[in-house]
Amino acid sequence: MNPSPPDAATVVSARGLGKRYGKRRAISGLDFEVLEGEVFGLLGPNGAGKTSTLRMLAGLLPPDEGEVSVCGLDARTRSREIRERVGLLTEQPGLYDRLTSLENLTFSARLYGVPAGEIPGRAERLLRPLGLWEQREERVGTLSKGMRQKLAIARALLHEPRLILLDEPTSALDPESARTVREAVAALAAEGRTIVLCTHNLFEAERLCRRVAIVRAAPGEGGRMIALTEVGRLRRDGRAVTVELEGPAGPHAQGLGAIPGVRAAHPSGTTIEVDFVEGAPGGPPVPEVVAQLVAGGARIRSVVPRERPLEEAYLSLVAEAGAS
Amino acid sequence: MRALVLLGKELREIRRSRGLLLSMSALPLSMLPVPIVLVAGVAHAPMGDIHNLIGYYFGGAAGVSGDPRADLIGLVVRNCVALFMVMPLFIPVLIAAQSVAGEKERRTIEPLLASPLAAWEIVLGKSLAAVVPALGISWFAFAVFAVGVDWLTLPLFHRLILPDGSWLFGVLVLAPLLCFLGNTVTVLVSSRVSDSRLAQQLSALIVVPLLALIVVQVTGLLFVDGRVYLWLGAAAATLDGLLFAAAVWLFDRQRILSRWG
Repeated sequence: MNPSPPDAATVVSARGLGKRYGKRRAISGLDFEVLEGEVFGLLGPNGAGKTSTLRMLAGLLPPDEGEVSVCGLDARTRSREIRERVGLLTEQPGLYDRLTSLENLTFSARLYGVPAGEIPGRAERLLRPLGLWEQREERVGTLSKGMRQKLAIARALLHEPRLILLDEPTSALDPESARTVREAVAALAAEGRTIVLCTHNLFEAERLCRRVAIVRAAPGEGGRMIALTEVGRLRRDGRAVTVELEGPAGPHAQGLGAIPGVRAAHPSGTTIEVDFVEGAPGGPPVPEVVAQLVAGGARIRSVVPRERPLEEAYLSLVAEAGAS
Repeated sequence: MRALVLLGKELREIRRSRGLLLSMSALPLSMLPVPIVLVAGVAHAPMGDIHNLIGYYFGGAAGVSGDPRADLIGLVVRNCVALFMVMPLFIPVLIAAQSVAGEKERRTIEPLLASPLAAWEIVLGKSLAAVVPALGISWFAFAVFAVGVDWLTLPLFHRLILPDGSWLFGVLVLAPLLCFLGNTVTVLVSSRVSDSRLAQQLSALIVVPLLALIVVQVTGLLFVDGRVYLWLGAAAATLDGLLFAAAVWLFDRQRILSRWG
């Protein structure tokens, strides 16, 4: 995953973004930005308003609350221009079964105004790496689900959009197909494309995204954003650190448990796993731990916040939001 | 023009849909024998029967031209031209019902809506895709009808009775207008419901007024002449314009997406 350069342009800017369908609220209070070259994840369970958000970003649905600009264009007033600049992969591939792969791509490219002479070359450049070039003359109805999804990705990229929106790109795919699609998305990320990935697949988000917004559906209220953070920061839970020492850790670990805010210290070889009490006043007492170790003569190599799997971090956040 | 790109895609899909091609050809195939059989029947009917029918329709056994058989054949042809107008009105219903509602069913609508196509371009592209084949089939059926009638009547009258004024008006003016009407009604209905069969059933009701007119004409209650055709044409043209504008106005991306799911 490519970090965006510090001066990267803002491709998406949402402020208080919300959507309603009649009286039913789908999502509200979304605040986030997506920078050029970034892979941004929109995580949340089904029904949390992820697809509605993506459709607003794609210029398909007008926002009912707040503001959103995509590629510098107001989604309320310039949706058609946004649609020209965005490549959307919908949850269902939405390809025409009676047309061949190439005919599907050609149709889409012409809708987006790609010059006719450029279409075959662009199609070949996209289909070859996806392993679909040999199937270009086959009707889409005969292709496997994974192939269709990859073809739909190619279609979303054919007009060289500035922003790529992916809605659950691997849902409903078997593990093998999901893996090939994930690899295709990873390749796009490696090229520095700006991508918004909407998913409830945490493994996918962990592998592909630099930052994520987590949305959660509350009964009767629709979705709300409960976190906006870097994936790495989300995984670092702040409730534990791993301290690596020069030499055996056992003798130095003994007194750490007495420090207020430290729940336990587990030595193992040259490292000590220090667990902190959740919600300790003043935060985790990392400076006190380091000071005591140094005072005890330990030579510290590193102090690294312990990382937990994104799934654990996500579930913990959702549970906290539910409790509050 | 993007609407033409959509038209090209739609025509390609129609060509590859055997079921749709079959249902599109069913109506002309079942209607074509009607005028041929009727004209053949009149051409060979005993004069007594001819006089009876002429008396019923024209109020006098002599008819209007002094040649009862020619008058009766003229009447049959006129009625059949009206009957054939069902084709340009109904065939687009079959095609257009598959357009928006069909795309919803096949889950292909969202990428189409996400493209830069404006609502009017989608409605126009879908409309042309229904009108072009429907008009082609209707014109082919009208041509076979004319050739069949001329082939049967040439030995009697020693001249071609078709094409005549009302046939030409029907084929060149009324048929395209009715084609567009059947299509626009269906595109409109199709974009408001989520099921292509429901769209087809509701839109098919558009043929009811035309069938009523045909029944009135065939039973002799109303003599449908050129003036009635002109009124019919004017009404169809007005409705075409109004309904097309309504179809564009009511083409609501949000409604289509949220109804579909």
